[in-house]
This record gives sequence, C-alpha cells and structure tokens, in this order.
Amino acid sequence: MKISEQDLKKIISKSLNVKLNKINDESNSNKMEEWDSLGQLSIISSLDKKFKGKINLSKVASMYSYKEIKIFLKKKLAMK
Amino acid sequence: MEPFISKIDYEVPRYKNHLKKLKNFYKIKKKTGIVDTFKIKEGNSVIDLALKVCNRNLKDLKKCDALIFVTQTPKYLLPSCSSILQGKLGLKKNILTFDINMGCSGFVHGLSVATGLIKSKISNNIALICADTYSRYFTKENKNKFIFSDAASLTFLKKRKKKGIGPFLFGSDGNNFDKIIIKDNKNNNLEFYMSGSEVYTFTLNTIPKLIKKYLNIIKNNDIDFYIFHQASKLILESLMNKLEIKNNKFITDLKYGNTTSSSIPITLKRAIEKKKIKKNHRIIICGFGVGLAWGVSSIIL
Repeated sequence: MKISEQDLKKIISKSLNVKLNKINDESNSNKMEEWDSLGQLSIISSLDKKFKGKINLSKVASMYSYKEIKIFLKKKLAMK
Repeated sequence: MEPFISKIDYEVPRYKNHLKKLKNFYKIKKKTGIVDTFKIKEGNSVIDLALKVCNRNLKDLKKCDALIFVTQTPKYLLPSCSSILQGKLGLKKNILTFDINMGCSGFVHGLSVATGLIKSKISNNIALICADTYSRYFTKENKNKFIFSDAASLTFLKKRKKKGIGPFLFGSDGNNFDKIIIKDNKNNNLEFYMSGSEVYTFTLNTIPKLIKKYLNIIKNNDIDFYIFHQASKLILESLMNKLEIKNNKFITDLKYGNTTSSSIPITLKRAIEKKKIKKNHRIIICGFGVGLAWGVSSIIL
C-alpha cells in the first residue's frame, strides 16, 4: 500500500475544496479557514477510501496539519 | 412469550436552527446531510418534550406496567424523569419506573432492558421513552447545534409468540469518555463538546467489526433493512460502504438531524409510514456514540 506526497496533497486539497498549490508543509488548520472540523472529517474519510479501510486512521483524527499527516503515513506505510 | 415493538411515536420541537443562514451551508449539507436542526422553547425541558408525545398516547401508556426513560439531559439530577412523567401523566402507581443514562446507543440499551423485563415476566407492557435536549448545552458559537436536534420518541413493547427482538451485542470504551461530553466551559456553564473526527474514526474502526460479528452470531443473512444511529451522512455513507450494504437496504433519514437516542425509533417510524418497512421485515439496528458505547440488535415487526 502506497501513497505519494502528491497524492496526499491532492486528497487534502480536494477534501478541503482548495487549490492544490495551497497544500504544502506549512498548511494547517490554523492557517486555513477551510480546514475546520468538517474538513478534517473529509480528509479522514478520503484517506479511508484510498486505503480501503485497511489503515487505522484514529491518530490522524487529531492531526491538523499536512506535515503531521504526511509523517504519520510515511511511518505507518513503511512499517507495513 | 417474546417481546416485540407494537407502536412508535415521536415528537420534534418546531423551533429551528436555520442552517441556510450559514455562509458554508452547502458544504455542511453535503457532509452532514442535515438542513435544519430543532430545539425546544427557552425554559422548556426534556420532560415537556416527552409529555407531548406521551399525551398523544395516553390510552396505551395507562396499560403499561413499566416506564423506561433514556436520557442524558434530565430536567433534574434527581429524581428520575420517569418518576416525574408517571405523576404528570397520571399513570397507575404499581408501575416500574427508572431512567437509563445513555446517549446515541440508548435506544438499543433501553430495548435490551425492556426485552429482559418481558422475558423474565417482570413486565408485560412497556413504554420506552428516549428523549434528549442537547440544545440546552449549546452556546451561540457552538457549531454542534447544526448537527443535533432535540427530540423525544415513545416505543411500546408487548409480548407475542413469534420472536420480535434480539439477540443483542454491546460494547464500551470508557477511555474515550471525553470525546463526547457535557462539562463546564470557561464561564462555568455546562456546554456540549464533541471531537467529531475522533468519533468518526472510532465509528469506522468499531461498528463494521461489530456488525460482521453480529451477523455471524445470528447466522442469518436474510436482513431486509439496516437502521443505524443517524449521526450524519458522512458517517452513515462510510459505514454502508465499509459493510458493503446495498443502498436500498440501508436507511438514511436526516430530516430532523441527529436526534441522539431517538434517531433509530424516528427513522423506523418514518420508514413504516412510507411503507418501506412492513410486517415481518427483519431489521438490524445499531446505536453508537457517547460513552463511548455501542449496541446492535435485530427486530422483526
């Protein structure tokens, strides 16, 4: 199971309904109005679909930045 | 003799939180499936709301020998809402009354207790009331008011020869008690809090496994419909997809928003009214949420 940084950016931008170039290591809920609780739900829901429910995303629920999610997924997928 | 659900009625207040006034209305509607939420009149309580549905069903209530009230927003810490209702409705005094402190899974919890009372011959006719008024715990800024509605449901249980309810399967995860909670805010007023994304991942991790285990236990794949707690469109769609339940068997009804413990009986009643659910249909019901706690059962009308 793999996900590239570009794929992750696409998922987050689509979930938040923002342009792809708005998603980078600095993107987080404090800086983006669109990244509210509903936006967070959309990100988790989209990631769950992407991984077909095979990855436990409980920890992502409290991650409100692109960088945090990226690092988590890198570790999680590398462990598999 | 076997317990079964003989009648359902419900009451939703007419005062609305108009989501359409919000600038991100379409985004909220798309994710939650909710257009309006409903709240009790200022100064009213869960008792007033329950009385409305009870007064319409007084004839049936007078035949009951047990009254169970599921709520987490009682008017008083003590006495119980069920005792107050017995008095206000003028029900007989030789009646068993008690409250159950459960939330979104409360209908399934209440149903299991009512089923046990009938099976053990303690009661014959039971009124199961589920009612909550979360609106009392929303500040002006609290966005949860656009998801949750106040509501009261009244379910009557009787007995017959044919099996009508069960078996049951339950679970609880008290380590996550603070994910949905009413506690003091910075102004020392009680306020409702929910960590939506954490509740969402809990649901995705817990409920599909629960349903699969349940279906395995009952060894019956002849299920006509699935009615889950109507939390939000996003949660329900995710569960339906994960469980690979066909769209026409999975009932989603968010007309009144998330009505906590009343969401299953209200959805059931509305599906019966629409003639979607008919006699002899087997329906899986599943509640999940505050606690965190969850429960599943099946019913045959």
